Amino acid sequence: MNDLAIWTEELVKTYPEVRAVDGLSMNVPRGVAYGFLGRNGAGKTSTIRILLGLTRPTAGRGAVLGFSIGRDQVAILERTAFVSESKTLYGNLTPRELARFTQGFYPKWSDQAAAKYSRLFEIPMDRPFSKLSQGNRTKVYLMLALSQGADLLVLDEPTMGLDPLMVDEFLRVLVEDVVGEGYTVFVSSHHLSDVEQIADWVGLIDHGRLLLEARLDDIKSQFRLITVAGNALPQTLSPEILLVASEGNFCKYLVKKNADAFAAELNRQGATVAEVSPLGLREIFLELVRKEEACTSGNVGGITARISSSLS
Amino acid sequence: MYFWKCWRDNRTHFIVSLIALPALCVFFTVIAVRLGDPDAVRKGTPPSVIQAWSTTTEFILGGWASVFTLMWGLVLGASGLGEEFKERTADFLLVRPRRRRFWVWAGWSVGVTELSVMVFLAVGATFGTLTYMTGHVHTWRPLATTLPLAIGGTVVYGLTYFMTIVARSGRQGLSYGIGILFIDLLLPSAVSYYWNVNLPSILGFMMGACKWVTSPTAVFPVGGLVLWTLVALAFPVAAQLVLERAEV
Amino acid sequence: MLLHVNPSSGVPSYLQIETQVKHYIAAGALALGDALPSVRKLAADLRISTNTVARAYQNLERDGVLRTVPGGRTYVAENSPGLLKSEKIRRLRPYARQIAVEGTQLRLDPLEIIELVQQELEALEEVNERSGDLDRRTR
Repeated sequence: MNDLAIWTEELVKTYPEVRAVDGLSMNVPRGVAYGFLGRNGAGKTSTIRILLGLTRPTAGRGAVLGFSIGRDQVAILERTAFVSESKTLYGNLTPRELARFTQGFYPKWSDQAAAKYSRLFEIPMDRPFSKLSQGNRTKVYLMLALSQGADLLVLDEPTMGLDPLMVDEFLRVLVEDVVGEGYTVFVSSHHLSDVEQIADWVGLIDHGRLLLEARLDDIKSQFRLITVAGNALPQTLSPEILLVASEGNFCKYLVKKNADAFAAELNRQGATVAEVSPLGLREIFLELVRKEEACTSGNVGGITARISSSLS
Repeated sequence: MYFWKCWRDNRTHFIVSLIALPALCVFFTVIAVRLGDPDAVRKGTPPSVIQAWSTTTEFILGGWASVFTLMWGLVLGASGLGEEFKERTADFLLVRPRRRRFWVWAGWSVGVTELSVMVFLAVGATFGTLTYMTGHVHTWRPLATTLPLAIGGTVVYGLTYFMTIVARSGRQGLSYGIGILFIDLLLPSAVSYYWNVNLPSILGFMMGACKWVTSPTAVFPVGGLVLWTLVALAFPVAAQLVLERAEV
Repeated sequence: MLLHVNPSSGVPSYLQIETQVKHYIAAGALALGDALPSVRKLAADLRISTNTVARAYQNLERDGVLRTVPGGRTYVAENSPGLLKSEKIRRLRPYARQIAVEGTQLRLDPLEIIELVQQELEALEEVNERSGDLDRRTR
């Protein structure tokens, strides 16, 4: 487990009316940028709060940087920097004072880093936090997190309120100063394009479970959407199929690999393969998260659509 | 650095009270002495000196200053940890690498220190004035009133501090604190009036301790001291237990 | 050297980098012995993960296109000294297949398709010669 920055096994978090996290098993390797994606209410923030010890899981277990969640929480917090979704800090303190405050908790804090990022992000260091704009507040939070000397950065919507230039600078910093130095970034965001740019891995969560966890490179080079017209469908549903759905007169398959072989198999069974197309992150997200419907055919009968839960 | 932050939050408040309370104590002491028999006091005639001292300790310290301390304890407690939840900075704070009990005890101890300093200065100023005006140092007893006053303040401070954590809001915590204090002030009187049972009351304890200063026969309320010290400590313990189980 | 990567294309970023480096070499813009930017620098400039760039460099090194010295810098190497002819053919075949499929789809004559490939090869050679001339003149 020690080569994983974050590891969870069947994590569950239930609230009185909802199962926010529902059996989440996640593996985040060290030294990568991991994009944690999902719709609103999918369970992203709940998961993050469990990792950081803000909430306790109802069931399941996990470890961050090799330390058990819950039992060794302080050890985790010593090495993890967090940018929370609600970017609130003490209104009466200025960024300079906030830096001083934060510094006291982290032996590995770097004043040079704080100075560098304050300059780079153009933060007004002597204005009280309550008087800062949303964008500036985000930047202060980022500056504090980046100067902490952490081994892992957990970022929840880190680009909120930032203009494109600042987003670009920030991504550069993540790549150069964090991933480039061998540390790990775990970023949860709606901005798929930002995630797609720097991520090595993606984890897609919906209804509290991981629908997909794969290298972005693999997704692009091996995942394919196969659109089929016709009646014959393969008798065996292999674990490489992530999704089967119908759309009008067509049936579509989302496969993890060996798309050509699969397409050939479909051809042999008499189906007409209309298209085998690669997918970007947005398409994968939309395909997997939309409701799937049953895919029926003439001579094979109804096949229940399902999302494959085997992700290895 | 958290201590520094807690200090920063209360700084203005504290400095104002630090000046106001002793100043007011001095002021009222001067008036009280003047209202008595000023000539006798200046000549150092024991009965009037004793009269001056007992008036001061009973009514100014035991009455007025005690009430001020209790109220200040309430207000101080309202800026407790619970306010972090309201301000949504709890996210930030509780992710710093410290056990949750650290936050409770660190915050609480800053308040207790501030309270104690303020009380000590007020008491010192009062007796300094008295000594100066009567030309007579009574006994060491007066300064000992710092302890019961500070403990009384700490009890109310701890209560409010704890309530803010339970209610997750400074204002709510303050309301609960005020409510409970009221009950503690009124209930014992009502109970003793109707049923002749003596319930402990925080103000009663503080006033009793002040009476002890000038009364040659009264016993120092050690029992009360122990009881209220335990109560004072119970609140941060309870706060710790609540915070450790809290879901943020 | 101007590399660019389109993160939202269907092609993995590391592959885009590999293709572009090979292209530059084929076009003579990168010559034998030229140094490439460090992994960190390139990743930062492109705003993509260092792991992606590292992977591209590693693949290119495995293919013999680049080599890394112990000091850490990466240079253009003698192209594929270690690959067997059969392996080279195997690698090129998917691209050939793609040309064949596309060309047929567009209803082009097989001869026209072959001529097209030939034209591209000649164009590359021309660029190579021109940059060689430039080198000779500037030395």
